[in-house]
Amino acid sequence: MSESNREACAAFAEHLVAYVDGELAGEPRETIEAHVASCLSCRREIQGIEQVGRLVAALPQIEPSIDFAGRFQERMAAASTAGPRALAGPRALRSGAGRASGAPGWGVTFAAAAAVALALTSVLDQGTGPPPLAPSVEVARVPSPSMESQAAPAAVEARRAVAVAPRGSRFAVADARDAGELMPEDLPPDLLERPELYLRLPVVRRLDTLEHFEAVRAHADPERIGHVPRPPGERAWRA
Amino acid sequence: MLRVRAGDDTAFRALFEKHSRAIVNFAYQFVGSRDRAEELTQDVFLQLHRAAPRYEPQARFTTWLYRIARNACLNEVRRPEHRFPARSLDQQSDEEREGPEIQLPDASAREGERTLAGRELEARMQEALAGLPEHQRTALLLSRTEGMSYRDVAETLECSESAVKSLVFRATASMRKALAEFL
Repeated sequence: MSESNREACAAFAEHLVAYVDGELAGEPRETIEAHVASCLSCRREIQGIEQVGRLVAALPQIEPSIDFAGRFQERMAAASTAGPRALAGPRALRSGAGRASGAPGWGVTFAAAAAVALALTSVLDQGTGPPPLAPSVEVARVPSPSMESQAAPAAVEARRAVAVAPRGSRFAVADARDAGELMPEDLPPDLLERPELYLRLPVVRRLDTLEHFEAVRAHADPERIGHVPRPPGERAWRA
Repeated sequence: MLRVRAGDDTAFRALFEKHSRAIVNFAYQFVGSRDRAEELTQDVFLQLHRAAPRYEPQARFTTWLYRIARNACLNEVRRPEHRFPARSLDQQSDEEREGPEIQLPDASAREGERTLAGRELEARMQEALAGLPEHQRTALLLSRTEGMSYRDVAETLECSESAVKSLVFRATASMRKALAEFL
């Protein structure tokens, strides 16, 4: 293989999967087509991509249990008579048993997340830091999916985290009843009506990936957000 | 879904019958347990039913449904007590062992060897899928098992099409590496 051909292969490598998937059109597709016609290495690469695609598509499908639909009907009936808590299902009951052992759960995570999110938004509102990640903490202003799809994923996650966490004080109160599980009815009504936005993000754990976080932290009151100075040499961002 | 929004329970049942199996299988790839996958699927449809009165057809129904399912799965796998059971051959239940298997490309292999090798391949695939970052796994599953276009995957994942392209590429590369001895 010539040097120029090898360079072409490297340049095309990341586009071959999209090419195989029929997701390339026009000139990019024609260019790759012309290259592949004369490149054995790329044809083998395509073969491997197709094999993986076929194998994943052929993964055995499981059949739902015989009583799956029946159990769902029962839960539907329970939800309509007993109110939204019935939506939680048996998994929530299991986690309730776990809470008795004192294990920290989502309620605790959310209390911390709410505190950090509030600190972040208050800093951003002062106008001394970077552009705000979220326009408001009002859940009623949860952005539409179309708006979200145009934004950077990190900013979207930040907006969602802020939108979910600080609504009044109920998330900041470590409710013993619900310390390990955030139940659907604990969420703001607006979010219940938009279940596609319902994502219990462990906000604290993910904060180091947020855009502008370093700048925010630099402007924030260290005590308020529990800032711990980073040892010299440690990377600010995860690899 | 518009009929469901109008309060048509028959339409909701039809949606459940049409999509629930696919959602169970989608969830199964995240949680590795049939019981949990079924329960998550029920959660998804309960949420969907509850949200129906406010449904606005801004996106395709399936992308909306899978977005709910994906969030439910992520919530589940991020629970502190959750550990994805990487299922080796030894750990598979009898029921799972008796289930369908992946057909090996090598047609000349004898039946017994085929079965064992198919199980090994399946176990390796499950392991490799479980090892993928969540976004890569979701993008790969939606495009390969659900046959979604990159555009629909992007809508489901709330990211750009070029991001999906990159996710599928990286997921495919990781899977090829993990399955090298079978390809």
